[in-house]
Amino acid sequence: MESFFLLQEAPLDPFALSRGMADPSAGAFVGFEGRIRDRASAGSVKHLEYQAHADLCAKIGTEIVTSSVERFGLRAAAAAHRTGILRPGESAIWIGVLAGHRQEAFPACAWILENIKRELPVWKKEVLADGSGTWIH
Amino acid sequence: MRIVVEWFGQLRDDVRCVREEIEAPGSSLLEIYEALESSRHLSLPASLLRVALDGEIVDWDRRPADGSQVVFLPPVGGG
Repeated sequence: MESFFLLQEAPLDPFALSRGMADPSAGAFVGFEGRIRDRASAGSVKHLEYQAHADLCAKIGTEIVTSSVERFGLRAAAAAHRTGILRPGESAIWIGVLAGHRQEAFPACAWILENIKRELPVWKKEVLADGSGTWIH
Repeated sequence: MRIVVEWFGQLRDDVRCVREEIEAPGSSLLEIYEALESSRHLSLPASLLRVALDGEIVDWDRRPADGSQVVFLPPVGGG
């Protein structure tokens, strides 16, 4: 199957995304979902606002997932990231990795996440229950 | 020379604008940003940013052309 990267304002459907990761030669599938926490060090979280540069995200996100396939010898890799207003409990990011064995799949999933956090042109503002907001990076 | 600047994150809050066409106040991207940092009271120095020109992340010494699309990229925070 083809590796892919998605950026979307609509809620993520991790079950549907995971079901789409199918390859009979893959003995391991590792999925990761990053969700919005309801607490921050400064107080209760009302929501997170995500902004993204769509064209650069498509380019950089695709580069990250395709690079992971080559680097870790995967069958396929995929990632999806939300934009817009996300409330506690909602998924901001989903990552799926298909590999022959778990030994490649777990580190590849973590590598994709760390590279997305470091490189993808996405910005998030944490808005607390008192209305104050801070850009997190 | 006029350029189109798209703003994101903290810088969008600073300028209270998503996208605008401006007269470039300099020739290199660094000169343009530093002039805007002062005139628009931007809260982040260029040293913390990356910059994109016409859809590619480039070095700060690049010079946009008339009509170029410029994005000053604050530190990212995905995930």
